[in-house]
Amino acid sequence: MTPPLQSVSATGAVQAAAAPVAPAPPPAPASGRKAGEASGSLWWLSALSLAGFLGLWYAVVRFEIISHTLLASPGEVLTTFISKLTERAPDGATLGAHFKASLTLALTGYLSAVTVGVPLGLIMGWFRKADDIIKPIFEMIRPIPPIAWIPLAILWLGIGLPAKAFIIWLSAFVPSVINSYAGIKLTEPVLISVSRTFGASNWETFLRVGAPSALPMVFTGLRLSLSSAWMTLVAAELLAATEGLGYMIQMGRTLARPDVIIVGMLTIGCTGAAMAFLLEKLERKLAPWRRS
Amino acid sequence: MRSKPWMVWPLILLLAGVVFNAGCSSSKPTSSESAKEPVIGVSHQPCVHALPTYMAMQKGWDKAEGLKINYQFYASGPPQNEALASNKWEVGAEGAVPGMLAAIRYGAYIIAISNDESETNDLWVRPNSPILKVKGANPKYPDVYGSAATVKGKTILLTTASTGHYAVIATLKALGLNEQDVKLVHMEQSQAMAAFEAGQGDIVQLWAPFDYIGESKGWKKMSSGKRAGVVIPGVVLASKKAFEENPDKVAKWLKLYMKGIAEMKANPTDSAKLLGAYYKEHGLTLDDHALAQEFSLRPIFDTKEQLALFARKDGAPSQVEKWMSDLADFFVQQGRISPAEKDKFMKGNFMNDKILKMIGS
Repeated sequence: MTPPLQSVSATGAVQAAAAPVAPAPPPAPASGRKAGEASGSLWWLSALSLAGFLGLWYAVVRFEIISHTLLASPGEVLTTFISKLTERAPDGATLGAHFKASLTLALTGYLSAVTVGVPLGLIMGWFRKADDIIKPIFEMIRPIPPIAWIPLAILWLGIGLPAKAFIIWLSAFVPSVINSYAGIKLTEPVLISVSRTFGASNWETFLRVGAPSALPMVFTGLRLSLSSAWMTLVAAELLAATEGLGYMIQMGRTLARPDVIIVGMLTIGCTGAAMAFLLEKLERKLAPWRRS
Repeated sequence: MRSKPWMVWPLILLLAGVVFNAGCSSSKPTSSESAKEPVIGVSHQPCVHALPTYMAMQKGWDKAEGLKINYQFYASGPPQNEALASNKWEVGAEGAVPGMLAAIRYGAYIIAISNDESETNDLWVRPNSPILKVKGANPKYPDVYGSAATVKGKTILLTTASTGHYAVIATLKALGLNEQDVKLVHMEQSQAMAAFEAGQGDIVQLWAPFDYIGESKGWKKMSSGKRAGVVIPGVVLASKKAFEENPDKVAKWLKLYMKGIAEMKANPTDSAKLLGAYYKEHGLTLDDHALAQEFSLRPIFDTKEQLALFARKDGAPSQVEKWMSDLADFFVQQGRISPAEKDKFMKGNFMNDKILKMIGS
């Protein structure tokens, strides 16, 4: 690694590049007390919003604006949630077992998708030949809904975890490719020129300038892929399942139990949100210049 | 707006409630009925128990009876029940499981039996399956193939919480096995067929008309609900509102339905052709052999026979109540419904021959 390249490499280089285009950071609070007030006020508003939502949900069911046979009350959902922690009825497994099965499935599909999708998107965005070869096939596959692959997934991969993970892989793969592709395409031309002026090869420039500068968009792709993975879970568990949150929702539907359906939905929602939060933390650590 | 997010949720939910209720009320089946010709919302599936209604519409019996049928098609029981909860139909036919759940959750009444589908809730194996080497291992069930040794450890593709599941458990019981002795994998019927064809699983549970397609692929029937000693009826339902507030209209439709059943019994050949046309309209082509089996394997009951099935003798439960009680017991054992829900179902007079008596008298 030559000294000139070091000076434009990795974080330092991208920080320098990102600084002019990144939105200005919010003005620092004048004092710690003011900062506390600001964040406290936001927390209070969010809590009120949530309480308002729950209150209205309760009222809508309580006053039969929507019949209780169609929408379970918050209390009923909470009772079902607590009972499902230990009870297998009515869908054949505890909430913990459903959660474990779905998490395994979602993570298998998601991680394998981003492991392939992010490098592929970066390579397609940087190397013209790769783009020309892969893009037509990718563009053709991209609009196909993952659920449409189910019959073929059964034929190719059977009815176990690989087939279901494949359905999730398809849904998580597309956003990770597109965002990585767009991210690296937006690399500052000045940085590329500087890197090449200092003697870096195309591959070195790709690794040390292009890929790091694409990180914010890569993380956007990772978050979108994560949402897609969880959204496809129910469809994937349509394929064949005896456990899983998607299966639990389907059984809730079969048995006409809206409370079971909502517990499954909220568990998916909360898990997805928690994972997105962790991803955001990771992004702040790896791409701190994107804090806005 | 951004600084007051609590104002957003009430508006969204209120709007949702208004739109939802508007949707429900606009879809009420009687909203457009004229004074002369009452409209009745009728729900069916791609199944033989839709034929009497289809026949009535094709032959113009509905108009002659002074009834306009608002025909609704559902792929399976769960969406049919969701539509019932939204007050979209008043009468219809479905399987015993969704029928029972419609009674428990939405107060619907079982007003007749569409057919006995015990033989067409069945289990299939590939022709080279070792399960076929043994028949009648338990002398009480001489037509069931397989034995405890040949079935134990096998993977069964099935639609759980269904009448098919009921047939599977009955078969396992007949062979001296239980759910823990095999691997049960939940799949919808069409996917189970595709998976089984692709070499997945050792046994597949099907119901009509999927089982005829399985037979055409060379698969062999190893058991059925009937062979394993359980009765699986198809049920005819009326919504709580229609049954309690408009029994005359329900009776008018049931009269047409029973006329269709009488025609199916009297003239199965022509009825099979009409059934073929019905299936074709809904994207399913069955050959003549399969259509004939719809009549030979699924007993149907005329009004007199139905009244006998619903009749309680000396305070004892009726035949229909016994069948449905056995099914409810299975669901309680599976943890799908609670004992209290079973009690509500059995004691709530949900299996009710009031409408049958109105048309039978």
